[in-house]
Amino acid sequence: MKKKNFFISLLIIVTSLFFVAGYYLYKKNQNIQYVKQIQPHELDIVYGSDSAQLTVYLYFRYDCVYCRKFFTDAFPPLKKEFIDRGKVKLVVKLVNLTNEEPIQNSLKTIVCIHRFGNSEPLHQLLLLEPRVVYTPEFENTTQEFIEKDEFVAECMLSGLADNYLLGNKLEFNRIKLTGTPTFVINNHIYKGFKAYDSFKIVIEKELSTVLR
Amino acid sequence: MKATKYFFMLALAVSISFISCETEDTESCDAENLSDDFNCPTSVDAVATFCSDGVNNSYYTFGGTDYQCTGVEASTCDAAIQAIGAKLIEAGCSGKKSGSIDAANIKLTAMAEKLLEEVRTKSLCQ
Repeated sequence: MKKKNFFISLLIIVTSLFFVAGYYLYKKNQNIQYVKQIQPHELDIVYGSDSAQLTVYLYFRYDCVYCRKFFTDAFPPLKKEFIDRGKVKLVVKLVNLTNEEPIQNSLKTIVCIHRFGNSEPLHQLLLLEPRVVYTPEFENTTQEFIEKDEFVAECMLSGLADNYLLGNKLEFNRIKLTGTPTFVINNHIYKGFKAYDSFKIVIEKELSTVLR
Repeated sequence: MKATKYFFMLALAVSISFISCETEDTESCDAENLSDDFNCPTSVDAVATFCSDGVNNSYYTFGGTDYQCTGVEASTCDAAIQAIGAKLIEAGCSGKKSGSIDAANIKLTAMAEKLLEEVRTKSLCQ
């Protein structure tokens, strides 16, 4: 009789733990949100090959500490291990969540320079000192770009860059994102900064889904 | 039979404790005095509270009303601050002193100066 009781008890405990584990798996999956396919745009800032196995979309602002932290901390090893090896393409979609003109102008400048020139120095400057956009020196520099390069001028003044940034903001709101950085990978939304080790786990998981 | 009951209760307790241990996003709040920003006389209470869960959501509370921000950081609360500012002006404050960031207060480091020079010279195709 004692032996029978023991097995019944054991069965109850195992069953309970099974339900608890199931509940936690269910909750964990609930934390990953799904979104309709994000569309690429000619003004997106892209790192990596078009033939990469996995595309990571990043909603990004230079006036956000953790966005910059992603680029200074997690991006270098990500580039070395996944982007340069053709496994991952990072598509940066800049968003302006403020009404500030200097920020809007700096974003217009970087997307147009990226499209028609070399945006890396500006990208590094904005990572190091995002407040530079409020200085007259920065304003003069963007003005020089407009005067010196007709394609950049067209991009910045015709509304192309403004419309692109507005589109990113509308998309950001449409998929109900609330903060940056936010990553969209395989239509899954990952919110917030992740240290490289955590980010690597996500990338490997999503890569394995693509390769399956 | 007693042993069965005992283990059943134990299993139930374990399950309940697992579920109850699940934590919601913790929210932290800080009081912020906006009287300098909106030039308020001392008679006007210009203290608003900024709350953020650090993950998804942030908002300001002022005069018993919540003003939602668009992101998780205080920098995404322009609209909320504007709405609170309107209330403060109604209450007797004279308005915001200046723009968000005064360029005169920004001192570029040598590294930033160097990068700005690189931006000037290396951004456009020759």
